[in-house]
Amino acid sequence: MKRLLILAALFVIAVAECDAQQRIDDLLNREIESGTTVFRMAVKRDPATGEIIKRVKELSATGNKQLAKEFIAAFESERESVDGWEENRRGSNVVQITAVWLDPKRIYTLTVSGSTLNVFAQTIFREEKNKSK
Amino acid sequence: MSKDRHIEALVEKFLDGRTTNAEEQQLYDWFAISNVPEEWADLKAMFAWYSSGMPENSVEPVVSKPKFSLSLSLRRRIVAISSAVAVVVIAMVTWISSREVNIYKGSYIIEQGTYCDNLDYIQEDIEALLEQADEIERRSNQLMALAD
Repeated sequence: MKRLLILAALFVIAVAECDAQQRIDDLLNREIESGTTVFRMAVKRDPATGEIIKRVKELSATGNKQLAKEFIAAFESERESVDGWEENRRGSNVVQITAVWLDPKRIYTLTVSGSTLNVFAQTIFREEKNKSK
Repeated sequence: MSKDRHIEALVEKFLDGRTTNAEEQQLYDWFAISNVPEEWADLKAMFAWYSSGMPENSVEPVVSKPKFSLSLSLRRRIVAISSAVAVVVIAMVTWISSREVNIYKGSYIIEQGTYCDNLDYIQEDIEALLEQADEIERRSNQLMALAD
């Protein structure tokens, strides 16, 4: 019973984590499979336990304005759910958005500059000890 | 005359002082009637001395442990010990290597549809990405601090 409750709690946490930026993640996942972008996934683990401390996804694309528009729309659609938001626009060609969610901490950034798109999504599962500043 | 394996084992047992009376009698009988190999000539004399009741007017033949006892038992022991040591070493290496965590395990890059998770090739990229992530995190911390 106890195990079941723990599993249920983990499931709820996972669902809650997914919900907050679901649209952006869906887009990222779609584009990973498309093969038209550069996608990097970095995982950092605790050297002692192997537990994941941080997960970073980065997607870069060039010359795909439609994709940039889709990502801008996805970010904007999540604006209500964020804990922190920063947006810089210069005309319609340069857009920078930083969206932050807490518990667990997620920082998503979008940079559109001309025909270049960069989406950076990191989830920090645990703050690192002795992290260099 | 070939060496009898059973007798060989009994001789070894005899020299170790572990034979029963019946086994000793078996040895006396065998050495009395058999044409023994040259290297067992000393043994034949020794068993003849024992079987004749160890007469005082004769001297007990001095017999060094035959070569086969070294080569057989020692080799077996060496093989057994070596195998055990090898198993322990392999188990320890496996255990230690399984405990070593690659902190970037699970990282990968997809470029032009090509998937690569070989950390030997992508580790520098992954480290650069994580550094970039740290920088973004610092900026976002400032952003959140300002918001507070």
